[in-house]
Amino acid sequence: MKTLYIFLIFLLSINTHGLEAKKYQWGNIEATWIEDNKLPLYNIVIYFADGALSDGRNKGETKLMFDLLQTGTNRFSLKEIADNLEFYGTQSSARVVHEYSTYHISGMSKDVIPSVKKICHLFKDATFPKKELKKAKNNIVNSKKSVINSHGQLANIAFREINLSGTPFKNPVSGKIKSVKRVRSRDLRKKLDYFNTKVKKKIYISGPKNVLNIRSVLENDCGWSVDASFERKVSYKKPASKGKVHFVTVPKANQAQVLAGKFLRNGEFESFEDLQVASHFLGGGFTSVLMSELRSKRGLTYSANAYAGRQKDYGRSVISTFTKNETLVELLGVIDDVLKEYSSKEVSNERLNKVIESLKGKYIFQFEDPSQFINELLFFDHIGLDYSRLYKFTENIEDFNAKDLKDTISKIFTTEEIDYVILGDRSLIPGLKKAGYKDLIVHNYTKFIK
Amino acid sequence: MILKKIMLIISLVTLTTSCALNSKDSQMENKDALDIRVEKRTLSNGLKVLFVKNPELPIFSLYTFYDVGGRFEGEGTTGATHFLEHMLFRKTKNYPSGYFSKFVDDHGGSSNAYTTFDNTVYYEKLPITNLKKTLALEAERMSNLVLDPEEFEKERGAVLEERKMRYENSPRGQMYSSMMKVMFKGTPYGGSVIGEKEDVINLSREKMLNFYKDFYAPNNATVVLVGDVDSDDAFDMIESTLGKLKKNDKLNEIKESYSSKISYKSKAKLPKVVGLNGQSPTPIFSLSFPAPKVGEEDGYALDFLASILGDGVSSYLYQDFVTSRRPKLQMIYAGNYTLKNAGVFFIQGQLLDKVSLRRFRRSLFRSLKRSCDRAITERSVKKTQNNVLLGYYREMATNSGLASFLGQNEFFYGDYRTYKKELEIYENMTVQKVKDACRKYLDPKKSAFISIWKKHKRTSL
Repeated sequence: MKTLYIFLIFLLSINTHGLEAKKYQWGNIEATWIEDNKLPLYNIVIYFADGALSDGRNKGETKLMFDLLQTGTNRFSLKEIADNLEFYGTQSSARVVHEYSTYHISGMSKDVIPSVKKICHLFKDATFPKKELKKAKNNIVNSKKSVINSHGQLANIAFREINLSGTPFKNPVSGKIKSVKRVRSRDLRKKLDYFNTKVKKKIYISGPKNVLNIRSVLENDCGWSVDASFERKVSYKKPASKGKVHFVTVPKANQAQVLAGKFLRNGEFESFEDLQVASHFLGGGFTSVLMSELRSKRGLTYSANAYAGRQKDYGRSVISTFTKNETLVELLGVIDDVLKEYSSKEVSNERLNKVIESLKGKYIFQFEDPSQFINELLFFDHIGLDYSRLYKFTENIEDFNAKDLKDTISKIFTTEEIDYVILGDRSLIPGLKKAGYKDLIVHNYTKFIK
Repeated sequence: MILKKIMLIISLVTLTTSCALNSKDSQMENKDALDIRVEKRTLSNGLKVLFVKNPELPIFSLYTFYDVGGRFEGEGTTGATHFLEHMLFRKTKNYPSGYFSKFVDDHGGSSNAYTTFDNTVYYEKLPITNLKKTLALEAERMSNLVLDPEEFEKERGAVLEERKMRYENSPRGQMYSSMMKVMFKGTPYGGSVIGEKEDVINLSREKMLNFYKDFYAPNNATVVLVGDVDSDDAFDMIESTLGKLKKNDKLNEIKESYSSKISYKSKAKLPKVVGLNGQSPTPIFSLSFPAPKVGEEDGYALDFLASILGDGVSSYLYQDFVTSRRPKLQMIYAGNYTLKNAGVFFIQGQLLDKVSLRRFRRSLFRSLKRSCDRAITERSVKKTQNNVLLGYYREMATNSGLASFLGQNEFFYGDYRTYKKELEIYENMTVQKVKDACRKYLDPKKSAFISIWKKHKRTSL
């Protein structure tokens, strides 16, 4: 233990609500640790500064590579690897987004060394056996076809592709059936080598002190190059705003899924505080404007949410809800009215203060579970924001006024620029056209998965 | 039983030794963290209260468990308990519709509720300064519902949309309710908690109000509070709010009258094979067997069996059907769903394209026949023990997780401390006990195989 700490370079220590984030430099990897002795558990998140945008023609390749790390190495089979990790209750999973990827490991702190050693062995030696890849691809194809079982999920997939068209972010990170089928075993080995040797990494840890002993394992057993420094930077032509209404047909649907929102360009997404206040006001809880108008007052839906958030290089605003076929037109009208009203009218200070107080109250809950909080820190590092923005969130939203709210809603839910995606039975189309949605763009759902 | 698992499946679900949770600085051996210091009292009106002080952050979580669920609904009134749960976020005598949610939202908290066959649970988490008001609102909810006709109709619409979302348009929801209908035929568990569509459409305010008056009373509830408040202050606040409500003196009589009409003996004629029409492009299946109710010894062995057969990539059935040389399934998992008065052991999954459903069914039975000898080993039992312990810890990571955990134990066993006995049972589980349970319960002659597929013709049970 002593030897370990002699080499730690202490960079920063911030303490808030009992969670002290300590930073260390482990070789070329920055490590962030939150000490948590409440339970004998650990959580580790490995951050890779590249994601699905590294995929060329084979969309979905990065996700497939991370997901299939456990399918075999030169020494161990899938069964042996799974049995070894699951015996200790070790959970591991990958999350790939366009700009970056993360690998999550958790379990009992007493087992952290053998578990991380095993995970490192996978990074160093995964072979992606052809027979396992074939089975995995077959399974993925079947799963993608089965997405028809979840209309909400299907609507999200379609909305992403439509709303983000013209940007590098439009493709699902898991690819489509055609692109997944193209991926070969050697593509995955090449991709893993790229992430091991070229892509910059950071580590985020919560748990007792003994978990820091993973340093030597990470440095010696993962096969990660000390020169890996690549960080994904995105440059793209900003897409023109669209503002169309799309209809995605699925057979025999007795509900219509509705999503509405826009792609947020530079100048529209930088202030995450503004985005949070505006989306919380519109659709952040039982008493938000949309829940109140759609569910409480009219009984049109069971749930309605609004979200606005950012990544490093872009942002999104999304409203999502659903209703029975008979009330689709009414629901669309209410959403439109809400957005128009609050884009042009300032709410009372009393009402705004309630939204701000609500967010201030919610703020503290993110410190309850350190394993979740390290993901917040990771995200702030990724988008290049100082932690002080996170720690001072409640102060920073104090001065947000009614005009700011109106302007933010007008900017991120601009009624002329938001795309609507409705997913439902084809029989709804005539009614929509009759109600004034004459320029509907109609798609078959299979387009978004094949 | 492993209650967290039960909850996951549903989602498709005067003792005084007060002390704080272990502080952050304390050195803990593995089991010490599971030594939760709970203060338990029963108030004079019959309300049971469990309290745990956690001073880490100025917040609290409050769970209120009512001993009323779908099991008390009769023919024509299915879904009444769940619908009532929705209405309890609406108007009360002293507050306008939606006030409860508004209060929680305005102060940065979150709240929700769920209904099962056995109980109805309301929960909220908020900054600690709002504790007294939250308790007062729970007291209002327990005693002063007003069923405004207009509100009632609006909420009926929301319930029907929820029903479509969770059951009609979800093959997994459809599978769950079909399994319950088949396995628990003729019993109160034989359906879905959300109710039959016609029943939801026809449910009257009067029936709901009677239901409310019968079951929403302090002597039919358990409250669990975990948060940053001293014990004396916590109990003072609870006494001055929920403690002031009158108990329902006729509760036992009422429960007796409901229970006397109920039989939990299933009328299912097994074995049974059913194919139902649904939108799934490849068949989704469920193979289920009758199992013991919550708290019975065999149930613990079946928890182990479920984990060994179908929990994780290394589990027996996953290896046999998903990662085998010729895979037949996209995924498979097993579970042991224990309710207060009955149980069901099930295996569910989804077929890959071009796999014959009939052949798969046969191969599944063959595999299960072999499993009692091949799957249950010292290692697989030890693996399950490790995972059970980890599962307990994960539940206790937040105030809400801990409150839910204690409340479930208190509700199902009448004593929150039962989890300690269960841990012992799990620690002492043997290969032989799991093998015995495997042979006793996985009997093909007492099974129901249900599949949902777009190519099936039959539309209802």
